[in-house]
Amino acid sequence: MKQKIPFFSILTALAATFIIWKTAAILASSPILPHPEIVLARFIEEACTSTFWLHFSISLRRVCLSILLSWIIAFPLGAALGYSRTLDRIFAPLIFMAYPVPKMVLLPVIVLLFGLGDISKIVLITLILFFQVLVSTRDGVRAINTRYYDSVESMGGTRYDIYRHVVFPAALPHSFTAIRISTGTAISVLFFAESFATTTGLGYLIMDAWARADYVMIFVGITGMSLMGLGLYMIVALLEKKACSWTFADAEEPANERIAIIEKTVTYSKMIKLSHTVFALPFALSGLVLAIREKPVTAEMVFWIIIAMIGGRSAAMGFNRIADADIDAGNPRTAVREIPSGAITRNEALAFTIFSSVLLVFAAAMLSKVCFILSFPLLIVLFFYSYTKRFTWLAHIYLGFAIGLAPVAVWIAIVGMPGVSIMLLAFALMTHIAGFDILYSCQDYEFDRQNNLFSIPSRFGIKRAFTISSALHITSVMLLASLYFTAGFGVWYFAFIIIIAVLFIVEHRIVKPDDITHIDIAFFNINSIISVLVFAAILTGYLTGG
Amino acid sequence: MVSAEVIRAESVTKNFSGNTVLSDISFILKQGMSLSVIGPSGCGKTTLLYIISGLTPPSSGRVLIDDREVRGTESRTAFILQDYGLLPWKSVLHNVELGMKIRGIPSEERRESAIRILSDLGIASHIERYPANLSGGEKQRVAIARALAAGPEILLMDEPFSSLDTLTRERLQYTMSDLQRERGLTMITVTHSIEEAVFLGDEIMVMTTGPGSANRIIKNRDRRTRGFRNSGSFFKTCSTIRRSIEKG
Ligand SMILES: Nc1ncnc2c1ncn2[C@@H]1O[C@H](COP(=O)(O)OP(=O)(O)OP(=O)(O)O)[C@@H](O)[C@H]1O
Ligand SMILES: [Mg+2]
Repeated sequence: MKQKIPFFSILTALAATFIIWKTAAILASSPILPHPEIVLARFIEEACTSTFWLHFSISLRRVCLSILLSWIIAFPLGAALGYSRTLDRIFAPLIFMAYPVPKMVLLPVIVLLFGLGDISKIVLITLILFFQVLVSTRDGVRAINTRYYDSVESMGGTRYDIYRHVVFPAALPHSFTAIRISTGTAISVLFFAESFATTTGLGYLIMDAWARADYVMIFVGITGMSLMGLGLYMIVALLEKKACSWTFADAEEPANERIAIIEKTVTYSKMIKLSHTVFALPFALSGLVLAIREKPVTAEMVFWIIIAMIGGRSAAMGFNRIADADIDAGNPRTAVREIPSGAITRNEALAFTIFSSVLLVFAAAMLSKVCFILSFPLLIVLFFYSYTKRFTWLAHIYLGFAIGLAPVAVWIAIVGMPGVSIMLLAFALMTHIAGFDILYSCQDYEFDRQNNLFSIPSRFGIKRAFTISSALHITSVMLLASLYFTAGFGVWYFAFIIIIAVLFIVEHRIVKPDDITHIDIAFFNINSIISVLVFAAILTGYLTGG
Repeated sequence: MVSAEVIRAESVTKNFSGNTVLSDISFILKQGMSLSVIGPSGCGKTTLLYIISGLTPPSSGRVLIDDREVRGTESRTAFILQDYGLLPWKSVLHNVELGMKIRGIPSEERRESAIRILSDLGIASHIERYPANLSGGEKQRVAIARALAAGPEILLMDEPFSSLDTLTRERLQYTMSDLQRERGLTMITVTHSIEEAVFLGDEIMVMTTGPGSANRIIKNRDRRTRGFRNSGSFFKTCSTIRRSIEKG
């Protein structure tokens, strides 16, 4: 059972929020309710400062610890109360007396007892979550059909077995649901606890802005808290799904909407191979290290570079999956990809690609005018890759070229006109990627031949393809080595180059023209390691260089 | 064929808060024999199985297994509950392994025998699924696998095939009958179906309500002959039982 289009519903929800907010701001026409785009711009500005993240992380830590603590105490207790009639008779009246008491009013007492630091805030939030989890867990256990107990007991199960195999697993989803729906409460309590007698946390940030009549900042704080709440909600929902997959086994039960969104997010990140972005990030960062030597770099620039990188890469992957959907569908190796398998519709992928492209252009615009202008031809270059394999076996080289642009783009963003070193790096990456893409495409040899797709293996045969790949990788190592002389690196740089060379040799050893079965995860991992090592080499070279 | 007696019920009586649900039930079941229990809803069939399995103590009377009084659940008695009692939060494999896990059997051994019995029953391809994703027939097979995986000597079944379609039901009856013979299980089957009772029982106990008591026990001597299901003897026993139920 698949739920469709949550991606669109997220966009719709965002758009709706924006429109309602904007309308309200226009109607109010008062500085007290600032316009959303002003808040967004300020939010991005603040998000580039360490102060904001300091407050954010302090708040986050308080909430997370409270959630953890309340669950650890309340879950076993609730389970025991639910199962044991005796315990329940003793404690249930106490709990039901304490449950409706507004715990917030205890804050002054808690502060007196636990001081002004983190502990008093954690205690207050924990106290409130504790009862939610306790009551949900207890009620969940009471609702367990007794035949499950009979079933375990009839097998000779003891009380321990009943807890282990029935009570805990049956109660787990209830406790997670309680936590999930209490995240909103937790954040509210956090705000309350942080709004007095403290100088840290998002709550403080908001109250401080309020005292200074900085209305935009108030909303920046609110946005931060909302994002934290949303993030926590989604993380708990994901954990819930992971830990209690059986509750979703029954197809009759309507799957939780939010969880479907998360699932979709996971599907999307699979589509664009988010993990591969991590693998491509070292290239951009290598460019960054080279650039730092020329011009100072701010945290803000790094932030936008990473956003641009993610946007560009996602756009390229999204577009590629759309352009190649029919080809992918025909190839058993790629038929499981998201569009051919139907996990994501073509329209959704299109929306995603457009969204990612806008992200790239926007981030580029934030960097400089040149970057903004160049971002358009860059998108064309990235998209064009998808068509190359339909008419030229140079597609592998083109892929290397496109990915190799990453460090050059970073350089342009920071320094301007590309120099020798950055071009050497770009070509080293180009040959590295082209070389392993050739090996990869050996898997599609038969398929490419049958479908008139161009690739080096299908044009020259697998054996020759291996030779070409080796040549490219030798070139790559030589280009990396020559970088030493142009960039003025320290001699330690060479230690890494040697390791990289050895890894290339290993890579070419584990796959043979007559046995390509090892082109798999291990193979891919070696390539990722090489990419990371290139970055490590450049960083080390820079740090030890003159 | 001289077999030792395995189960002996001696005037078993059960009261629930003053109501007598079972009154004075007695019978003897020999090793490797099968008893079917049939009777109207609410006459205490489930209660009787609970008492034999050791899950519930009788109010008076006693049940002996191998001459020892039953005082709690034992691992050589396996009990398939009325709605199978499969744990929804465990996969098929983990459900089947559960009995062995409770007995502390090492995990490799557990897995091996679970998979063996699951393939014997033709559901080895479903081991990763959760019970919610199984059909009624598959669930029933898993329940049988779980009961048999621990290698019991006695098998108690509470309306095991009642929610299945006729074809699946008959197929499983044959499976069960074969398994009982191969493993020499001493078996008690509670059922609402006269045919099932006759097909699976060397003896058939007809129960009546108000309070539940054993009206009579009918011997079914030809059960183990070939082609029994289509024989005159089968239909004759069926009509004997029908008459016995109608008389009440
Ligand atoms: N724990 C209990 N407390 C009180 N009464 C009970 C309890 N368990 C069973 N009974 C009663 O005992 C009677 C017999 O129940 P039992 O479940 O043994 O019947 P049954 O023959 O298995 O019926 P069915 O064919 O519908 O499964 C019923 O009237 C039932 O309400
Ligand atoms: Mg019953």
